[in-house]
Amino acid sequence: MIGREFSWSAVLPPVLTVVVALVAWEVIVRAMDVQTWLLPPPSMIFGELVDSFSLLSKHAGTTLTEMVVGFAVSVALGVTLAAGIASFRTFERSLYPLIIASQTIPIFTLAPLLIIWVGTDIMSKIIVIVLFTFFPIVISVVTGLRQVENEMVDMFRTLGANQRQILIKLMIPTALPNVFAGMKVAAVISVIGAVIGEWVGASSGLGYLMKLSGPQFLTARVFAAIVFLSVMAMGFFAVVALTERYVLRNHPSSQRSKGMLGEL
Amino acid sequence: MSELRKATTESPAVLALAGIGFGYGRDQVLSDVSLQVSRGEFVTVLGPSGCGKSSLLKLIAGVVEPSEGQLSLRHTTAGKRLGNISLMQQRDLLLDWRTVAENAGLGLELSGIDSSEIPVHVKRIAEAFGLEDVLQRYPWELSGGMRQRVALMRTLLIDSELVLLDEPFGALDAITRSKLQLWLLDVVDQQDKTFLMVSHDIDEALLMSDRIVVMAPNPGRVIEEVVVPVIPKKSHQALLEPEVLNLKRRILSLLANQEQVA
Repeated sequence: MIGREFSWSAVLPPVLTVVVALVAWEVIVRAMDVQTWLLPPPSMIFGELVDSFSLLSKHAGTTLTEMVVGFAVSVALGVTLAAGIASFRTFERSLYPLIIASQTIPIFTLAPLLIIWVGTDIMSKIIVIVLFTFFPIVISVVTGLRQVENEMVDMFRTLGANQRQILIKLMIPTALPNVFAGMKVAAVISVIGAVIGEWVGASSGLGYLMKLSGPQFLTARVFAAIVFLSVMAMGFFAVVALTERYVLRNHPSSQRSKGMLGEL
Repeated sequence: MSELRKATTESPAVLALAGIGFGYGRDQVLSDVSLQVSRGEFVTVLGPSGCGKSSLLKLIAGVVEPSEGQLSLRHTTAGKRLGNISLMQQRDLLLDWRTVAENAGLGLELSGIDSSEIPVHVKRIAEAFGLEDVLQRYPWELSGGMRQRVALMRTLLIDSELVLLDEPFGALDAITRSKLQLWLLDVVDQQDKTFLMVSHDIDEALLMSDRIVVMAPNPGRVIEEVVVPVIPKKSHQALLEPEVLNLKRRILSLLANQEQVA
């Protein structure tokens, strides 16, 4: 399979771009003598990553827990809602427009309300993450379930299948590639939800650490936290993408195209 | 036709339709369709596109219900048709994420038989279908003709007396189609089943069937039934026999007259 072959030609260009950008950043900051509280050079950020690794890791643990729990709740809720929308016309008419409309509300503005209602513990962050991530999941799962052709359903029925068998052996496998597409998007944006939740009110987490470090002009630490968050989001994406590759190993979609991970 | 099949042509009806009507909303698709299929027979419903042939099969299989008329079956109550009548549709409808063996055994799996027994049943008939070497392959690795044979294997593996074929080779190229027609004749001879096929191909109907039911469109209705003369060794060559050619001429003129009326 093409996707499993490691290809330097695919990896080299983005890596080189990052290296060039970092070198340019370092040179410009030093040459122009920019204050480190304004914009620290990459070397200083790297130093901060090493020096404060245990502090960053501790806060990253909180954020990661929120991301994983929020993501899991979001997947469960999103798939259930999507199944309802795809199966029942009344469900679709009464819920689908509201779900779409809900995305026009800036979720950031809801965070303070959630702090008032459920407090500053993990629950408020999980709700923010779910609000951010359930939408891409619902949309992609509904799309996936709608790909099931009527002729296929008829074929299952003539073979004597009941509703449960049609769901498990036809609908879910057909929709799986879309379920994973939604989950990959959700995995990446779960980090945004976690940071926003922590920003508004928390006692630990990388968002909390950044909010604390900013006013103290610990700019290198803010950057170090951003690096941590970015790595966490990429790692979470990779875990979902690898799970997808394993689960869909027999799916033609994974055989015919390289998939997103194959591009890396 | 084998002796077995000829002998059973006079047997009681496996399927009997009387005055069947069917429509979607205001559109009348079928009107007053009556026909009988006896045990062991191979009957083809022949007609132009849009004469409701596929709807007729879906209706017999139980996917949809007739709006009028009587439908009776020998061993099955009309209300329990789903799962007891095999239907092969024009498209193979194979599940891309399942192997050939898993696709072929789908009906058995859905019927709830012990999962360890399914491969045994599949292997038993795989050779006759020329699929014994590709059982662990995936559908997207197969040619159109092979996919169609997997679909037919799935159809025939379920325990049903009546098999409905909806233009089973309609999506294939002419050469593959004629090969598969002869092959299907062999398979049919080995099966103790009753076949009802729909087709718009006169040669296919003459080659495969004991009897041809000719339909006309708008709304779909039966205009004539013709018995195909018994040809000792069925082949495409046999279609050039004078007796068969005369029958073909008659069917062509029946269909042409209908077009003029329309």
